[in-house]
Amino acid sequence: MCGLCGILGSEEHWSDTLGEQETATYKQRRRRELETRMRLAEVVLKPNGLKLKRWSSDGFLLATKTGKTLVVPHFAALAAHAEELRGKAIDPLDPDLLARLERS
Amino acid sequence: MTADRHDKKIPVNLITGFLGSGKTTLLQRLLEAPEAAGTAVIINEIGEISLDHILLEQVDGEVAVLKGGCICCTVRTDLGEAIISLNDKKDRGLIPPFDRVVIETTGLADPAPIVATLMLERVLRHRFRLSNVITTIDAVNIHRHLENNIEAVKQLAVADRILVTKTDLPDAETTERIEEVLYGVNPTAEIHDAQARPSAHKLLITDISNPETRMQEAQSWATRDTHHSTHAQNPSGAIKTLSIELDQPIGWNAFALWLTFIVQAHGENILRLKGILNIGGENLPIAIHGVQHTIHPPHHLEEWPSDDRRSKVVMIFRNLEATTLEKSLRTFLALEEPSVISREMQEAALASDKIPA
Repeated sequence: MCGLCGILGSEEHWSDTLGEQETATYKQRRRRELETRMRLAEVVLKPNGLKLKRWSSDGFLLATKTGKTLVVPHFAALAAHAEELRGKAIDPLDPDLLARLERS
Repeated sequence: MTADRHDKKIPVNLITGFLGSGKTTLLQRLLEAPEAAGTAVIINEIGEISLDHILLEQVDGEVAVLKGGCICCTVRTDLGEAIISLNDKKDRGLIPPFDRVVIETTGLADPAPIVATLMLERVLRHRFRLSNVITTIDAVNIHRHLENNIEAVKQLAVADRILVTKTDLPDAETTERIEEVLYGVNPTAEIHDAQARPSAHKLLITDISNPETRMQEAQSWATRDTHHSTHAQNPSGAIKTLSIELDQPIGWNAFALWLTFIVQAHGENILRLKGILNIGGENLPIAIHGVQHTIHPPHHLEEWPSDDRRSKVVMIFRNLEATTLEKSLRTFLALEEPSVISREMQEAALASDKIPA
């Protein structure tokens, strides 16, 4: 279990599937959703000095500018691992972050 | 997958409420109802003598009393172990089978860690699910509790049902005044007068995860005007509510990203969140709800609760600014262009490799 987010490494997160049945195209669809989510996450992470890279089918590598890196086992753990790397949580209410997002 | 697996889990109802507000009386009445047959009960005790336990021994049902006082201090061990122990005994045929668990907390308990335990504890989350939170509050002491006890406020804020007790006493507040106060703390909860003896079906069985009652549950709050409550008097002064309507379909990924980051940064202050979402590419609405850091698996609803197709998000929070919360959500949502292609069309396109993106 991930000590930071309390979620098992490869387990389904609440945001993953919108309750979808596991159809033949499920994995394809999920992969595309992860790509979209990665793209969106990078927009939020970059102003906070973090970079995200794909690592496995579910996992990611999250790194600071100085190279400090954590394996993020699952998208659900992203916010918690970002907090660990930065020493504080990324605040979606931060006016500077919101201003940057508005310009992106 | 999520919905089907979720539906097979044993539902757990949480009955909470401040000291002397009538939790045990309610529990006893509910357990007498035919709908509550096959319910196991877990109660929390404070001190050496468990009066609640003595009362409940008169009721059919397996009772496991948590030791060591307040449930929120020992939530990840005692509560988890009590439920797992019940489940093991059931599987080994040592106790009659049960298909529902009711937990009665102490009056001082913060319900959020209990919700988190049910959602996150590895064994529990695969076999049990939170059905709903029922909070009792007495009509005589409502103001005193809300003004002096943050636990009482939190118990109301996370509630799906609020049962107002002692409304028949001469010094009880008027029903109108009580409703005004309670909607100010929690605009999404159903409020019932205990004197009207709302049914066990209404209180225990109806929940968002039960496919047979999902629509009823969604309609109970989504069709209500939740705006006026933000202007209602809130004696505690500490809790604020925000109701956001979004005119256009939204992108699920952007919403999920926002929610993940907001509960990480401010989960302690976001006591309750409920939403009916119009997701781009989805024909049916998605219901979502969470308590502090814990977000429940989302559910598709079989239809819209009303003719209104807007997304609606209601948040109950403290120590945060409503305008900033709303701006933050809208800014994140603007990052994703929601799909205009239905899931069925995407499925068909993916299957034939015609539209890769």
